Amino acid sequence: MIRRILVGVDGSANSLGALNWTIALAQQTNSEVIAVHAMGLKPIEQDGRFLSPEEARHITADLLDSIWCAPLKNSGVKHQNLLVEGSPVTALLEIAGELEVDLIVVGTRGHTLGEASLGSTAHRIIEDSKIPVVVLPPRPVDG
Amino acid sequence: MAEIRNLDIRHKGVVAVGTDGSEAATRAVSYAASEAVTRGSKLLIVHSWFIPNFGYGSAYVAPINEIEIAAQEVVDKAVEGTKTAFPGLEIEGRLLEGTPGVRLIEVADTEADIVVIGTRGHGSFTSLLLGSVSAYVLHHSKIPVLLIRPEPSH
Repeated sequence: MIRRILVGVDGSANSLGALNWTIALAQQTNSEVIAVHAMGLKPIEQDGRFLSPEEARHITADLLDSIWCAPLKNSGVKHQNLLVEGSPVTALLEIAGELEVDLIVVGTRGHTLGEASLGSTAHRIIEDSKIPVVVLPPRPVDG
Repeated sequence: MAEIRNLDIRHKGVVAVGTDGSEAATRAVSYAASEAVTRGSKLLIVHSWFIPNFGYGSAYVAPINEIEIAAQEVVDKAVEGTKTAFPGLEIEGRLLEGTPGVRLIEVADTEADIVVIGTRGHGSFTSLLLGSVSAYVLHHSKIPVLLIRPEPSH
């Protein structure tokens, strides 16, 4: 029984594909989507200066809610958008445990010679996750 | 209220799962069955058999029909076990000849919405965790791959 599905979002085309797939699954299973973005510790540059950590958090949270997770809002599916700091793998797995998530969705980065290439984040999530993980193919969504 | 876009995944109405009769695979089959129930889909249980190569000059080669019969038993057992646990679920067992990962993908890509496979649940490298069949499926599948670890969740 799936009640909560976790998906990482970062605004990339791949992440949007993974999010849309997750939304469709959530609609089918009547479950909640936990959309997580892990902010790295690298400073963000904008207009020729580095943003303070406070500004960076603020801007990223805004992006997360209004743009990256817009399909979630439009879908009407129950969801939470979470912004966390730290390594994506640790952050995603910690939240998965904390919120008692049933399933983690990860995307793949496109492919070389027909093979999906898993990013290092996807690889480590597969290795470390205690719960089922769905790995999406490179062009999964509207095939 | 915002526009609700149609985000439905292309729906073939089939959940595929690969099995080799192992404990890990049995758990994957069971998860796949509950997934199929939730989706209102059919469950397709796939097992592949092939003639093992014991190396050049090997003294022993199992008779082909014995291997095939044993393989059919793996499928039948998985189907029967799942029918008991999930009455009402439409289940098809299919025996294929050929390299397991390759054949599973051929069938799953064309017929299923998602393919479920079991992992060994240990190993600090993905290759050790997955085994060669699962790793092949993970890297070549055109549909989403759901990985199930052998030990209970949480």
